[in-house]
Amino acid sequence: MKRFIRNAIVFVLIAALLTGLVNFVYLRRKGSPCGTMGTIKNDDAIIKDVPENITLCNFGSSHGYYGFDYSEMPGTCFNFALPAQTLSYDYLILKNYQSRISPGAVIVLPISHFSFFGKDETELNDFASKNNRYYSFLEKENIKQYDAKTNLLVSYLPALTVEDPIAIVRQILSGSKQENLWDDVTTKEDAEAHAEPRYRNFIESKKDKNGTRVFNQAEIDALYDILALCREQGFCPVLVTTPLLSEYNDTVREKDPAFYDDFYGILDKITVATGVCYYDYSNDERFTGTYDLFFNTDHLNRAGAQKFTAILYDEVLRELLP
Amino acid sequence: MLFQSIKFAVFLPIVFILYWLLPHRFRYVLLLAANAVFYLSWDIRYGAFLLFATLVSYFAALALERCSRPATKKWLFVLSILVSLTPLLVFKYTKFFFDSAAAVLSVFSVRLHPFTAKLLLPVGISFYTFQSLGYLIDVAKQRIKAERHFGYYALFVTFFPQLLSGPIGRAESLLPQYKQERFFSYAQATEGLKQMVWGFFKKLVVADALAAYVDLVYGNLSKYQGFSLVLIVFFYSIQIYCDFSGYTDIAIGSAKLLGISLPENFRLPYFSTSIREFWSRWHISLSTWFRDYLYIPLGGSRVAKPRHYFNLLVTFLVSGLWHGASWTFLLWGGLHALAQILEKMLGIRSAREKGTITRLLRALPVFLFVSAAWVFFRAESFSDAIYVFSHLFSGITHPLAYLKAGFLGACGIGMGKAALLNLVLFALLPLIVTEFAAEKHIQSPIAYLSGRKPVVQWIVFLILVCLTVFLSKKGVAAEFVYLQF
Repeated sequence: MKRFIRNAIVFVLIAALLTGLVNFVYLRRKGSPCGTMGTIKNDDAIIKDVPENITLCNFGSSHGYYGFDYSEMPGTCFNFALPAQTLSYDYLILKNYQSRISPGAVIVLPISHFSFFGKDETELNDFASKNNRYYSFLEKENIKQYDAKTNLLVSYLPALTVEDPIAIVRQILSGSKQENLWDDVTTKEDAEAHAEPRYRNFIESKKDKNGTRVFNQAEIDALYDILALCREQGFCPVLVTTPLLSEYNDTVREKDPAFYDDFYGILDKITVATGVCYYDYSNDERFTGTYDLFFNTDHLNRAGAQKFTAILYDEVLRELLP
Repeated sequence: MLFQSIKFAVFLPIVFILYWLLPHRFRYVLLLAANAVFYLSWDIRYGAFLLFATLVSYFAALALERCSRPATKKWLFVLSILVSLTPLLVFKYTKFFFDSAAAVLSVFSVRLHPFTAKLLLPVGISFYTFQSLGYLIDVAKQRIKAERHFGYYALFVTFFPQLLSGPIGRAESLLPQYKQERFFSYAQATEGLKQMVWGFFKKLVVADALAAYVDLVYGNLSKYQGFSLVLIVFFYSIQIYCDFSGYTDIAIGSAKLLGISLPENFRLPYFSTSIREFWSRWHISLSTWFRDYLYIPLGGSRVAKPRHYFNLLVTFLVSGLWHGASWTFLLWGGLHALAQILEKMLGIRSAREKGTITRLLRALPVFLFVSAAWVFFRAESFSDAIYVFSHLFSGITHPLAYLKAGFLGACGIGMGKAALLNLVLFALLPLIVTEFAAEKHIQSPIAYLSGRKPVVQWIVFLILVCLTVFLSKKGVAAEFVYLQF
C-alpha cells in the first residue's frame, strides 16, 4: 500500500511538473497580445494595456479586429475587437472600460452579417473555450457564466486552456514570431474558393433545421444597450460594416437574397429608434475588387485596414472627433 | 458526480484511503455511504428510485426463496419482476408508448392529446434495474441463494463505480467479493490506475473531440452532405466506443483500487469478424444479460430455425428498446438481429485467425455495418437517419472536391487543418496503435501496455496523462453517452 501511494504520488508529481514546465515555457515565449493601438495581430488575442483618455475606439468581431489600424491616427485610439466577438461582449467590454474613454469619444461599432442572427453564443460548442479569453481582462461581473475554477486556470495555467498542442508547441518553438494573417494578401482564386464557406458560416449556419433564419434578440438588444450606454456617458457611436470582396457579396446575393432585407431591416429599425448613423462599406468599390487589401474574402489585411481607417476618418470620424 | 469532475478526483482518493484503513467489517458501511454521496449528488430525488429497486429485489428474493408452493412462487416471481420494472417502464417508456399509440390511433382518426408531462428519469435506472432483476431471476431459478445481509445486498445494487452505466454485475460473482475480506494488492491497484488513465484518455481526448463535430452535424443535418456525413458516421462509431468503453475502464479501474473485480465489458469490438462476434465483444455485460435472462429462456438456438431467428429478433429488439424509448433504437436493434440471422442463413462464422491481415479484412465489413447501424442509434429521428444515408455520396462524381469539401470546404464540418492534425496525431493515432497492438497480441490494451518495461510504461502513461490534461475541454462537463440510458 505504501509503495502504491508513493509511486502514485511520484507519478502525479511528474505529470504536474511536466504540465507546469510546458505552461511556464509557454508563458515565457508567448507573443505580445493584440490590442495596443490596434497594431499587433495574432491568433492568441486578448486585450491589454488599455490606455486612459481614449478618443477613438472600435469594438466588434474579426472584422473590427483586422479592419482598423490606428498607427497613423491622431489622439488616443484603441481596438477592443476580438475574433468571433459578439455585440453582447462588446457591451460588456464597453461597460468594463467606460472610465478610460473620454467624453465625446467616437465609438465605432462594426456590424457583421452574423451579428444579429443565430443561437445565443452560450449554447454553442466553442463557447467555453472562447469565453476563457475574457477572464484575463474583464471584471468578473462582466464575464458570461463566470466561475472561479476557470479563472484560476486561465490566470495560472493558460497553456491548459489552449486545447491545441500544436499551437503550444509552435508557440514554444517560435516564441513571439506568430503566423501573422494580417500581412497576407489574398488572390482572386482564394477569394472565390472561400466565398461559399464564409457565406455558410456567416449566414447559412444561422438558420434552424427548417432553413428559417434565427433572429438573435439578445444580440440586437445588446446593440441597443451599447447605444444607451454611449448616450449616458456622452460617447458618439457610429455603426459600420467593413469592406468585403465582391466574391463574397455575389455569393450572398445569389444564395440568399432575402438576407439583405432581414439584415438592413434590423439596422433601419435601430437607426430610426436611436438616431445612430450607419455607414455601409461592404460594397464600396474602392475595396470590392482589390485583392491586395484583403487576406481573405471578408477580412482586410494591414494595408486594407490602413486604407479603410483613413477613409473612414476622412469621411466620417474627422467631424465627429472631439 | 461525473467521473471526470474535480469532485470525483477528491472523492475517490478519500474513499480509497479510508477503505483500506478500515477493518473489513466496516468497509461495506463506508462503501454504502460513498455510494449515497456519489449518487445523490446528481439529484436527491433519485435516491428514492434506487432505494425502491434495492428493497423490492431484496425482499422479493427472500420471499421467493421461502415460498415452497410452485404456483405461488410463479405468481410471486411475475409480480416481483413487474414491480421491479415499473419505475423503468413508467419513467422511461410512458411517452414512447403514448406517442406510438397516438400515432396508430390517428390512422383511425382518433386523436389523443400529446403527452407533455416531463417525467424525471433517474440516471442509471436501466443499469441498476437490470442488475437487480438478474439477481431476482437467479434466486427464483435457484442458481444462487438469496442474500440475507441487507448491507451487502444494497452494496451489490449501488456500488458507485458501476451504478450509473455498468458493467452490469452478477450477484454470483460480486456478492462474495464484498463479503470476503480483501487484502491490498499492488498489482491490482496499479492495473486499476492504468485502466483509469486509459479510460480518461479515451473519453476526454478522443470521444469528446469527436463529439464536437458529431453534435455539430447531427444538430444541423440539412446543412451537410457528402463526405462530411461519411466522416460523421465513422466519427460517431469511434466516439461511442471511446465514450462507453472509456467510462467502463474508469469504473473497472476504480473498483480495482478497492480490490473488487467487475466484469469485462469491451474486448476490442471493432476487430470482430462477424456481428455475432461483435456482440460477444461489445457491452459484454448487457449482451450476456440478455443471453442468459431472455434469449436462452426463449429457447436460444436449440430450437427450430424459424424459432431461433425469432428469439434473436426479440432479444435484439428488446435490447434496442433498453437503450432508448424510440423507434430508431428499435430499428437499430432489429438491424443487428437481421444481420445475425443473415449470417446464420449464409453460414458466416467468425474468423479463427488472430492478428492477421485476413482477419482485419474480415473485420472491415462488420465495422462498416456496425457504423451504419449507429446512424439510427444517434439520429434524432428516422427521417434524419434516412437523410444521412441518402446524402452520403452527394458530389462523389468529383472525388477530389468531394473529399476536400468533407473536411474543409463548402459543405464540410469546418475542421481546420490544425484541428484535424491534432485529432489524428494526439487522439486517433495513440488509440489505433494501442488497439492494433493489443489485438495482435490478443490482449486488452491495458494488459498489452502493462507487459512493457517499467520505464516504457511510465513514459506511456505520463504522455497519456499530459495529453488528457492538455486536450480535454476544461470547464465543460461532457456527460457520457450511456448515462442517458
